[in-house]
Amino acid sequence: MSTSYDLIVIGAGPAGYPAAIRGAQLGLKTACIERELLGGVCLNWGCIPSKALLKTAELANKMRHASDFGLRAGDVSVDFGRVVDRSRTVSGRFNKGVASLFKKYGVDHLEGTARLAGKGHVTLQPRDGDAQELTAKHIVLATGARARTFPGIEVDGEKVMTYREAIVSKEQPERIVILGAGAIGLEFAYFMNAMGTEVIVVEGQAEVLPLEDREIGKEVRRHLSRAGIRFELGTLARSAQADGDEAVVELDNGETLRADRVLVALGISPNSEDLGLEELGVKTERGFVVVDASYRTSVPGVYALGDLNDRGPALAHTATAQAHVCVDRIAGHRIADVDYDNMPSCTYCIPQVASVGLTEEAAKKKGLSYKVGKFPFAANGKAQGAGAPEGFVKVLIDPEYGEILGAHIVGSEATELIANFVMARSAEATAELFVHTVHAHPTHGEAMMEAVAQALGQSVHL
Amino acid sequence: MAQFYEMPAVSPTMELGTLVEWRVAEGESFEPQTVIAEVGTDKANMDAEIFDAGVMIKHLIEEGDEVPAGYPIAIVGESADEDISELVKAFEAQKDRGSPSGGDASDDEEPSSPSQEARDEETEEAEEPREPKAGDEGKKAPPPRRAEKVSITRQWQGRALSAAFMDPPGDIGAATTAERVAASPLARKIAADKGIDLNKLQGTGPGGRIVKADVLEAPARPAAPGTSRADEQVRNSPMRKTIAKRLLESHRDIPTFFLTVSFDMGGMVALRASLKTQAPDAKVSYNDMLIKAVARALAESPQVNASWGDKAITRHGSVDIGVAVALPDGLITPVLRNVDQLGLAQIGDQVRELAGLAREGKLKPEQYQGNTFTISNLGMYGIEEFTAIINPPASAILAVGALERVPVVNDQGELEPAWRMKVTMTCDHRVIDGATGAEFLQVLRRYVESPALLLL
Repeated sequence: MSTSYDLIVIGAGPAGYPAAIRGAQLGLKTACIERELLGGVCLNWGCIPSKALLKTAELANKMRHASDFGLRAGDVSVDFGRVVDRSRTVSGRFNKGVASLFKKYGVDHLEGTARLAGKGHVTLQPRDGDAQELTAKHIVLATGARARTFPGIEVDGEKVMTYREAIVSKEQPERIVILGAGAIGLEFAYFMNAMGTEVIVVEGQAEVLPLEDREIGKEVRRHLSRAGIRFELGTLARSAQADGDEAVVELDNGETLRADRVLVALGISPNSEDLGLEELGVKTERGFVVVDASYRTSVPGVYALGDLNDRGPALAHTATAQAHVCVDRIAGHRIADVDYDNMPSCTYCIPQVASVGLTEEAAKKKGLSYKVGKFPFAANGKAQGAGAPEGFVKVLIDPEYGEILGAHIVGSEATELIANFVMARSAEATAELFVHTVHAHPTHGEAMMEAVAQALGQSVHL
Repeated sequence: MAQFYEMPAVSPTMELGTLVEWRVAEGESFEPQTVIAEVGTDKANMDAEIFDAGVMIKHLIEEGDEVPAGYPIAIVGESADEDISELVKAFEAQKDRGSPSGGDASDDEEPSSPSQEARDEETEEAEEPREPKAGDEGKKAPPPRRAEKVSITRQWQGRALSAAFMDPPGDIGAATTAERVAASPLARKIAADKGIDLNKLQGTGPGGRIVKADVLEAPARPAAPGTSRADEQVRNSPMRKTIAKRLLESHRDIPTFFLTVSFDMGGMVALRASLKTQAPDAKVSYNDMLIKAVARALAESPQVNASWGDKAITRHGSVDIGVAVALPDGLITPVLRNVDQLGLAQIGDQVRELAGLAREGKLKPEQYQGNTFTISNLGMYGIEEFTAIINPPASAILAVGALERVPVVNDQGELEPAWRMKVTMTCDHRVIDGATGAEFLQVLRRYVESPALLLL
């Protein structure tokens, strides 16, 4: 095995594996070190398996309403173990896909734990055997992050879990308390609720999905509440811990919640320990590696991508976008900076949420003038036909030049639709151009066009 | 019923047309087949006819405006008092959105009065093309041109114009530009609003595309001490664009070298004086004699009277000399055919006739295309010597300086006054080598310095 590379990538998640493949494509002799599974959290414990679970949840709920569609489906019963098995199969498929991509592009896949060992040096500790010394002109750190915990929140992996244990657990809890109403919290809440588990969601902010437009969060909560999920908003969990067969959660508001499981979904902590950052002098802030717009750290030749660094939201697509910019620049190619103002954000519970750009609250805070356009899916033919009339599209339009300042979708197909707004914003299409662009009929997408037209006072269907 | 009259495509390749002159004033009625306007294309000015009888109710664009073929330029109807409010509204709506007719024309531009006056059709004298003539007061000055109309016209380029107009899509910012500036719709809209020329910006978007940030960061004009007038944007006429395109191609694609010689013009000065006395009506100029001399030299130099081709060099069977003629807004090179077979007086007559047509914009393509050699003369401006850019398909151009009286050292070693003229030939090195060019100039020298030969 070779020990000298142009590029060594540490971590094979959605930052690391694209970085490695891109590097190899651009002619760099590349190795990618992974201590667990190729694809990282995204592919193995996050984005991908959760989508498999959520599809099961959506189908279960649809089947419960089969009679609305003229079908008799009988009672829906859940085989929880098989639900989880299916999600593992899906992940496994993609995990193998990354391995074959590495092979195809000539990336050396090295298994083990890596640590910086001086400038241009990496120590690889395989699971079995002796440590190896590797050298590289460029070292890209892409070790990702893990669920964040707080004092008093005692994660034991059995009663008090993070997504990491929860997503592979084949035991269905009867009652679950979910701490945090961000994307992960709400997706688990929706899934567990659809499986028949009693769900309580605790959120410190006043509304669910606190990073989204306030109206969007409210709409999602309305539908999830109707499905039977209980929300405790504006209060934090003071403690969470196992207590015999149960878990106990004490809230700031004095209430005590008991459940057979607690899921902690309160954000992430970067995996920046044990990498040798301090010894090499790589600057970090609250654990996140400080980088510039080319993802260079304070140490020349060392780069950091994705959840590990201090730039952008901790999302898989952010990480992949950063990987492209970083490696292309390492290889000497010109490429524009990652545009964090045009970063889509998606939540896959039903109704789905997707957004890009400014929320109304952010626009207000910035002192921008804007026009709001809104269009409900209830007035959209395709959504009605699909039996999914929940939600709406909301846009913020600059009144002077018609710039699409922000777009927020809650409802069916939201996460697929948002790409249109991201593309429009990326191309700097104006609101007028967006409305002038013919949208196929009947499609959910027409609701986007109508929402923008609403802002311009031109909507026909409202 | 009142309707739009649209910019006609007066030539098959015409995309944009300049309204040179209205021939039918507002309120005036016209017969079938009336020429209602004169339209300039990139090549020549043409008449725009209307087929039915009617009344010119309203001019929608002004003289000097450039719009795409198919763009409404007037409202015509059956009587002058027809209700045209709907049409005007449609047009105005378009204008507000930045359509080709331009925005509010009253701010910086005098409203153009309907051109009631018939155009002075008298041919101008060839010698003074730039000077307005006495007695020419009736002629309308060219309308001032405004910068913003340039971008406005660009936005319409390439769209289905008349249909789009009646059902206006609004300024959706989906501009397809004539010059293809890569810019986002939003950047275009902001630039148009702020009067920023996109051509002057460097794009930072993907592929160098100009994005919003580039427009917003466009540097403000630095404050200069003292007062200065605002920059003026002079719209590129079709001719200007053609000149730019052709000369750029020539300058870029042709490997050139320059040969300068000084001719003893004593013989020509004597010959012209003699002709003036002997044949006062003939009006033979030095330029005519030089053209004749060049023609004779070319007839003897097939290697110079030639054109480059990828497979073969064409040695032309005829001597067709292009003579550069300056115009108020450009230049054109009318071509004299078979010049080696023309007499001096014929050359003079033809040059003056073609130059006249050129100044009126009435040259036909066959009258300005396909020269085998070009002469450009700036001697009358006192230019001693200069270099010119080759006018393809010719392989050489002769830049002619001023005829000057200079001190020379004669054969006896004494100073004496003499007539001299410097010419510089720009040669296409793919066709003409240094020695070939030099030999041609030797032959030319023989004819120029012994002009009696021209009379043979």
